[in-house]
Amino acid sequence: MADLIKQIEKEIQGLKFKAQKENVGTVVEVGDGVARIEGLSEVQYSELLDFGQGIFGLALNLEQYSVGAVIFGNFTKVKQGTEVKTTGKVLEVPVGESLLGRVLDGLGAPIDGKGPIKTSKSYPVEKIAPGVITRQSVNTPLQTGIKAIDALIPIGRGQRELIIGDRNTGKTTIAVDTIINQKDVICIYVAIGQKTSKIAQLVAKLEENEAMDHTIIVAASASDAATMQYLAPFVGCAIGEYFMDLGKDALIIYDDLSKHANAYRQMSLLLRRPSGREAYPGDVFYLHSRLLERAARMSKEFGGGSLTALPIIETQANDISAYIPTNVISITDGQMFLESDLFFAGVRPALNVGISVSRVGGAAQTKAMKQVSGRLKLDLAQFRELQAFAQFASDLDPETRIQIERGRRITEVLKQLPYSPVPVEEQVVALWAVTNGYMDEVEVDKVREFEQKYIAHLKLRDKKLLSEIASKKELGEKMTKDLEKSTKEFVSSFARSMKGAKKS
Amino acid sequence: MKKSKLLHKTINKLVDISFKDGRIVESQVVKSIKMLKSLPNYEAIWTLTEYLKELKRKQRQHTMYIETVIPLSATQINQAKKIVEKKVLPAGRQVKITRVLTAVNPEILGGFKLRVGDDVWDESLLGKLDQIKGVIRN
Repeated sequence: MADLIKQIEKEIQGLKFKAQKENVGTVVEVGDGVARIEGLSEVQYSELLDFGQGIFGLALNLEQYSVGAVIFGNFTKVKQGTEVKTTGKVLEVPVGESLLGRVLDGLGAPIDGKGPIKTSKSYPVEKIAPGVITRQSVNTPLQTGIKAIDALIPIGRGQRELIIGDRNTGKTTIAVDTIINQKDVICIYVAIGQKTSKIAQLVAKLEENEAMDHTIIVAASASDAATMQYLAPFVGCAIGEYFMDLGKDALIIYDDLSKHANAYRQMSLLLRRPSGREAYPGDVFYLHSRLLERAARMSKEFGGGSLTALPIIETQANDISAYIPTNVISITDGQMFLESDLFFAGVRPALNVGISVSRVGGAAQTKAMKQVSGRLKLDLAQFRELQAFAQFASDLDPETRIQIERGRRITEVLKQLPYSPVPVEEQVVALWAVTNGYMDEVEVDKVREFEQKYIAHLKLRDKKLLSEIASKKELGEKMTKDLEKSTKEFVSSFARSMKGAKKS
Repeated sequence: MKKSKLLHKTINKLVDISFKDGRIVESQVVKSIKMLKSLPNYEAIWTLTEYLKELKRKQRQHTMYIETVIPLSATQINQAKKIVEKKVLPAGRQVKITRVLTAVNPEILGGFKLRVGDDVWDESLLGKLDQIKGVIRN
């Protein structure tokens, strides 16, 4: 304490007072977090404004004699006639390792009651995305732990993959599963316009799964002003960029960008910007493109870090042709479609693998996964084509029937419980077994039991094989033979146990 | 309602000719108001409001507002005016000060606070204390 006082005294003694020149203006109109200010003749676009009493704002509309600004924090304290000063600064957020495990608000201030954040670094909220020279192509997988995604719609580090679907189809669950499955990737979850109770549940779930130690949550809940909801994704992105610049891999989830667009629409209408389609302002595309372009995989000369983005979009009645969904689909490198019909049919995650795509992830898939997923995609595609004939099963030729039956089993294997990500080696062996027909004799409703017992069997008998797949990331000839042997053993023992169970 | 660019241009021109050497020319203001009054009613109300706003805005640029703890003498005010006209305002933005407003404000504790247009120079004790506050906070 004494040292601190001495240090402060020293700094005050060394302080050189200068005449403070300030450019000021006066609030002429204020409402819903947006203010119109007269004066501020020297203000710059996106400059931080000081409204006094610890309230700050951002200059967004520069007109001939007035400035339109958004206010952060308690805007009810700002009144007509309040003096506003320019600060000469752009909006910055604190960044650093000490943010890990913390819950922040839309301005980067802690809201979890764990005390102030101790960090000396800060990053600008708005930043130009990395250029072409600084980037490299996506070549490392980001394992989500979800079989359907890792096998069919793989995500690479630095990619932007959209999660799109109606409400209650499991979009957030996919994001949370991905966070839980990460070990060396720092995760940032940005909650925009969500219920505070839902955010609290999510934090509890991550803590329960010991995932909070590598996660930062930026929350601008539904009760926060539209300005905070507008800023939150940019704040999260700035934090992610810090880790990327350190050469680390980071993952950012924007949950969700539809609410972000709504907040921006509200802000823009209050700023009296002209509105366009669905009353969104003309630059709503640029809003999302400049945000998502900041996700990148940097080249080795620039640290080799990456920032992967998983934006979420909520559709209304599966309408993906609405304005915001089409915008974000065109910006991202692929999308995962979640359907409520599939969800209610018990297919969870409710991924429609037929129309979901990953435009760059294939290059980042491990060799082992590629070996099994190639066949898987083919089998599933054939199954989808033949599915319409499934109801006439008795009239079908044996080959078609086999294909339909295998498709059913594959669909069953791709089902997964929430918050239980599967390691990549276990995914590989399970998918290998189903695509090579080892589950053809198993009844469809017993497939999941088979899979669980099969993995347990391999863990007990062939742990070495599993760890070899995990380390080598490929299925060699010898490994395949060992796997075949082990699988045959298990299949016969499983069939025996099933027969025994039926008799009893 | 979006007003035409032509009206904006007219207002700006009228404001320009209503000023001479930083001072309002009353006769010109009366003429301008008469001219604007002759416009159709819906345009006249809007243009007159804008014209008066603009006039005040321009007048503010030629006004020096000085806040001190004790009243200033006429010589001190003149000296301050000269300094502001020649040294304080940045090159290219120098204007002639035609109006000086003074105020006694004990809250600033000492020194002075000066305002020309949108620019404020704070040389008060309160401002310096705020600077110290900032250092301690950081």
